[in-house]
Amino acid sequence: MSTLSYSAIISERSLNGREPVTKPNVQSKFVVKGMSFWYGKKQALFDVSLTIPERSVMALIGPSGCGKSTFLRALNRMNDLIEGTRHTGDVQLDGVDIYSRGVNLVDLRRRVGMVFQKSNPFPKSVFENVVYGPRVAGVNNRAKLHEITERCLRGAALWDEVKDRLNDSALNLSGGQAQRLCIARALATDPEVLLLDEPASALDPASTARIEDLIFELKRDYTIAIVTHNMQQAARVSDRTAFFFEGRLIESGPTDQLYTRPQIQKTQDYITGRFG
Amino acid sequence: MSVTRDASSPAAHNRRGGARWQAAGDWMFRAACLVMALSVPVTVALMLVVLVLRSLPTIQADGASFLFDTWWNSDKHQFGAVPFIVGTILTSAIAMIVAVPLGVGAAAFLAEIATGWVRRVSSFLIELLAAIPSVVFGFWGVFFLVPWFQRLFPLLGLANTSGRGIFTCGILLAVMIVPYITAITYDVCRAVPTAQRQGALALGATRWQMIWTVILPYARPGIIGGCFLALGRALGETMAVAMLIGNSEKLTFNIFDLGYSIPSVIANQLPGTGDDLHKSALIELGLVLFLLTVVVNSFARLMIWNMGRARPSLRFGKRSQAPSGSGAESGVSVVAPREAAPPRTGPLVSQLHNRLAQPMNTLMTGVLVCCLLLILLPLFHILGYILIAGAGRLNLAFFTNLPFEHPPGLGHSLIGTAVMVGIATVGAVPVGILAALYLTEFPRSRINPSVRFVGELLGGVPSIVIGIFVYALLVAPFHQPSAWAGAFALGVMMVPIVMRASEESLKLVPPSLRNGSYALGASRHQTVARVILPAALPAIVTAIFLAIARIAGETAPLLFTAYSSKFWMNGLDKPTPFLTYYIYTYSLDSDPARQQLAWSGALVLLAFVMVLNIGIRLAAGARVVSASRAD
Repeated sequence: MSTLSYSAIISERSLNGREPVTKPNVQSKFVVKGMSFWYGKKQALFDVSLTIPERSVMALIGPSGCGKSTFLRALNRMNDLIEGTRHTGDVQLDGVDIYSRGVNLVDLRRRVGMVFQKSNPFPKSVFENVVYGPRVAGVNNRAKLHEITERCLRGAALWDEVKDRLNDSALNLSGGQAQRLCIARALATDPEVLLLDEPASALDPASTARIEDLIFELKRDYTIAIVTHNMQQAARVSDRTAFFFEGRLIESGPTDQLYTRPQIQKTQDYITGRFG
Repeated sequence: MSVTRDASSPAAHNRRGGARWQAAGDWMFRAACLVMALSVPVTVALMLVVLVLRSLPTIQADGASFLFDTWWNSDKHQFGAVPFIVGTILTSAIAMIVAVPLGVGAAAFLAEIATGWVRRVSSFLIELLAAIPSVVFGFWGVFFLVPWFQRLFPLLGLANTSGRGIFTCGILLAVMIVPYITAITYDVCRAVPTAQRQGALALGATRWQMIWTVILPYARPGIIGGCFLALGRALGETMAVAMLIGNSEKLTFNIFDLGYSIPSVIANQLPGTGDDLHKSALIELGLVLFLLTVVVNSFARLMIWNMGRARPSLRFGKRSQAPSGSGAESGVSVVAPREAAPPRTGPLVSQLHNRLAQPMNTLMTGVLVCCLLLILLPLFHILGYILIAGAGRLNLAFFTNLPFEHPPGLGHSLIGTAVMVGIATVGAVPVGILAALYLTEFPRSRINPSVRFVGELLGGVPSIVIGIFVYALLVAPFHQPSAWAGAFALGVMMVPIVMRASEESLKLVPPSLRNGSYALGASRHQTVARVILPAALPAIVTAIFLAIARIAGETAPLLFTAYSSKFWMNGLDKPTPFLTYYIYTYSLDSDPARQQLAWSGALVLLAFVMVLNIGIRLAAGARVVSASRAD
């Protein structure tokens, strides 16, 4: 695969009106400084510094085991669930260190939603899945919950497919639908940031396309970080791309620049398919 | 280098008929496994037949009124089972009401909140609690719980001043069954996929909200199954109930009254009666208990198996209706555009902030910890009370003398117990292992599901019912209790334990080992004998020792089969003394010298069981895993 095809994807993107929105005063949502991370004795991240601007899509790419998922999970402290992990460095969300002492994990995860590689609907109805977040946050008003359900299912481009079976078990949904349900569920907590960990890796091309469209829609309101193995996908949906290799951040920058004029040989090798 | 085929090569050996020997060996191996596997359902069927035949006299005399009459008077041949059925149900119900919340709470804490050594040590202690013999629980009940309730009941203004009765039994039963509920709930909680946990936490649930709204609903079928298994145990529990319930044949629904349960009436009256109709009525009670526990256990197993097979497909929220009409905007999916949010600089607080969630989480975590502590409290008390307080009362004569000598001892009963446990082990271990081999080596056999299922049922049959079965089969026809009969009863109890544990260990042997052996031309029985059994052996040996610890503490199956005696053993076909009999009868005796012996007996038994359990589990820690890590 040559760099040419990525130029094509990126120019096609502007034809579709998907020009990356460059706002005059873009603020930084996440600022990560000097992050290192260990699973027990194994170091998974080495001194990673990266800034994620507000209301944009940041793609994290790199070969398997390069640390991009670890990095993503560090942003809402999901790594805390694994025993024996530790980190150094600083992760700031809107200027507040999320690893500092007084941070409420529950609030953090409500503000920084996450969708996992494999869809994980609860064995409850579609409706109960969507309103799970609001419910645990204490919202009990049924009218309000219904309003949230419809808005989020529309937001996740799933409403038309499930509006007649909101009370059916979510386990009956197809793989693509289940993943979009998980996105709707994440939207329902009204987060500011969405972390997507290879959200389309288990889906067929049609479902993948829908989810990519969705990411484009969501960018208007949310800050999104997406881990993906699919280079074209990263090129299609993201504004900025960060390339990880063996636990280190090799290069990051605007997506069109990184794909067409990478500054570092290793990035060039990876996106042209010479390894990985 | 050229390969030459000389006369001693395996191929040449095959041509000379080695293959035929291999095939014959396989045939014999398969036949032996099949017979042993079939022996399990055959035993259960035989149990049913024997119990029905032996209770025919009362069935013919009383018919259905046996189940509905409220009077039991053996002298007048009035046999109404209602007082015992009610007593059994009341004690079990109290036990379940107390034990289920505690057990599920403790398991949720261990599975979802505790980590590292807290989890390991607590699970270990809960297994120890489950290993304490029921007669030791009864002993603890008689010497600690009853005096305690004696002081408590008058404070509550109750007429019952004995401290015994249905309520006391229910509390003790709760302590006894709570480890089963905890263990099974723990397992099914751990089986909930991690993705479900992550999903809940990523949506901003607190840990307690995750447990309550995701983990427990997902695990519910398995938890219900585990509770019914525990119920089966409570219904069939004999010794602890017989020692505490007060033995009143009068029907009562007051839980603070004295009462009687089915197993305890059998244990008390069957050894003493010479009246055939009375015997038959007691055996019919055993039949009722057998059927009751079979139903409860079948239900429990089906729940647990279904849980393992498929994710529960549940339907919630029947009331909610999709809002209609409000969604008339453009068909294009659009997230409601947000007004430019003011930049945040303050503390990290979500817009959806539930002020109660965090305090609730703290509170419930505390409650769950209390559940665990409440469960472990009796363990520490029993160990401390009997081992430490009892240690001063033990002397050498206990091991060398007879009960009527001076100083008195129970040496004969230690030998009797050891002999019967030894015979039972020698008999049951091959049966259990071969049956397990049939299940794992011939997995496509059509009888496998039934063998496995009936094996589980046999494991859940109350020990008193096994005692009656062996009594009716081997003792009553020859009018001779014997060590053989006692050992047979213990063996019947041991087979399902060994079979199940062996099957689990055999399943852990990696397929690559098996394939490797087959690829080298080994036959099935050679593969099993040389590769599979050695790999699984450490785990199987561990299970055998744990099973020994379990049956060494059994009382109920020996009461009518070995019958006990006051003298040294002088033959396997004579009544045989056993330790638990003396703990049971002497702890209820008013003679302080005999109570002293009961103390020593309980101490020795508990120490033996604990040492075996702790030693085996510590030693096995590494070895059990090695079987599964062989590839």
